[in-house]
Amino acid sequence: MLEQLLPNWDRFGGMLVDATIATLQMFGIAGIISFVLGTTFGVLLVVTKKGGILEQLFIYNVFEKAINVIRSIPFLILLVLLIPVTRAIMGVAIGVNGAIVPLIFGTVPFFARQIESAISELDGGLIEASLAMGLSPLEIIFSVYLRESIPSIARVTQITAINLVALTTFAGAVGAGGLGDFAIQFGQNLRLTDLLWVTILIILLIVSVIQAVGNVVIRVASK
Amino acid sequence: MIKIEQVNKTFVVKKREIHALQAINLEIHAGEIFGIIGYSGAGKSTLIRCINLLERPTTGSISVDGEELTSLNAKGIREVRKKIGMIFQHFNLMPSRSVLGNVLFALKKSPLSKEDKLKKATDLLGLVGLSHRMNAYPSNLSGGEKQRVAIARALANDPKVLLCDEATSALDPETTASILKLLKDVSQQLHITIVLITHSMDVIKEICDRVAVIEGGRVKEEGNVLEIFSNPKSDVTKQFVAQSSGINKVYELIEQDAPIVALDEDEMLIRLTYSGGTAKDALIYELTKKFDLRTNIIFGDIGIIQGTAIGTLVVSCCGKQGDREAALNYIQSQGVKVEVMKSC
Repeated sequence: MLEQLLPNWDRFGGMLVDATIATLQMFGIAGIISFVLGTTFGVLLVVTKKGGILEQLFIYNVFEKAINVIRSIPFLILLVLLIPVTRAIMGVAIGVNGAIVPLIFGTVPFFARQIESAISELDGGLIEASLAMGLSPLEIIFSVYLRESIPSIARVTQITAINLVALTTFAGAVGAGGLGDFAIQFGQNLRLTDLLWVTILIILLIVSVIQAVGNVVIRVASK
Repeated sequence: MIKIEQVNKTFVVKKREIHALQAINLEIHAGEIFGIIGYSGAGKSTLIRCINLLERPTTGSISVDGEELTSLNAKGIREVRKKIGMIFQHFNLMPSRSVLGNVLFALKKSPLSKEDKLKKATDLLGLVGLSHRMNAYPSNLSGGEKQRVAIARALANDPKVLLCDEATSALDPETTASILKLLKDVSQQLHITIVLITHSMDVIKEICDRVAVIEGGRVKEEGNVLEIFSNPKSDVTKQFVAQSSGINKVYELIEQDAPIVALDEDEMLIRLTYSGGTAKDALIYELTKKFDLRTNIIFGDIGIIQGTAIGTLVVSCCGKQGDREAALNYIQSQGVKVEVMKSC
């Protein structure tokens, strides 16, 4: 049965497993770092903008411009452009480790914007009430902005995470392997259609898990 | 308790200066309920926000309980704010936290032990009558219940002052009455000074001891509520008082020549305003008996402010010209203000 459906599994299955692991590694590591950095920058944008609780227009403008510039560079070009930076940070510019830095650069600006809009949705009255209660800016950030926005943050994290999965498929360009690379090498070049379909199924599965986890968080956090 | 001295607040919007508050001087005494009334844009919201420095006055000084606020640093202001509770028109409860969670949230920085905080929050929810809804979430509460939670939250740190920013403007009349009653109880039981802003004279009438009327960023009139009601001086105050009594409708009817205010020959329409001791029941009767006038009450509004009756009557009187003039003099001699609204 398996033989008929996936005639090339025996020869290349092991490589597909390796590719899946590489994708998950890139997704996991870049994802966690991007989540922390993106959330930080998103919060910074909200609190430093005009009328924010820590209004600092200079900082706001710097972040705002930087985000816009980086966001406008297509990811494949960013990947190549960042090779020196990656080498400086990671020591190598290729392989899974070489892909992490560009993935973070490709994700953080987008995610920061998403976080900014997610927590800007919060009723300004809540911030006013917190200020009136004598809360410090840091307390307001953690116990109001972030805590009260969990459903919105979960929603934009879902979107960004799915985006990140898509970005990992470019990583083959810097020799990081992964499912995107596998699909090109074996699915396209060697015409192993059966494995191409399996690749798609695996990606579909990853995306579904992201969706499901996000939905659970949104449901639990929405009162 | 609260001293506002020479406070000015100027906003710069698109390079244009807007003077939201101009030379405001107010003194609010400990334990009283002080109302600030004004139309939208009069500056009352800015003024109440100056008291806890949510808005910083451009010039002037604010002191609360003997402490000058405008010279405090950020940390000092946060400490003072814990002693000044505030409630809002739209309640501003944290939606992800339960009723109990919202009150506990205000106790986050309190030095109390965990058990004491829980007890305090529970007690406060009992005080506002919400013991049975402690585990509900704000989205499942009615407006009145939300405001009750907000009041419990505002009282969590034993404030000396409670600021109410249009606290009943989003509520229906019945709920408004119950929230006002709760505020009154709270002020009496806990000896809290309450400052409230509103655009409704009924709210002022219901619970305030003293009131300031503001317009265009300036205090137009200030004083005891009964005094202001029975003897409004500025135009804006007169408008508020008239709105609250409904007398404006009678003026509208006169303007429209409505049948209800149509007069026969030798008839006049007068407006009587009286308060407290001058509210002699027999006045209308005397008009008939002494001056041989046929009288008919067209409109009446009697309110009780701080235990004193204050009323407005619109009466049509029919009789000889001489008798009518004598009647007007008589009414005035009885300490009742009289105004001829229309005569034939």
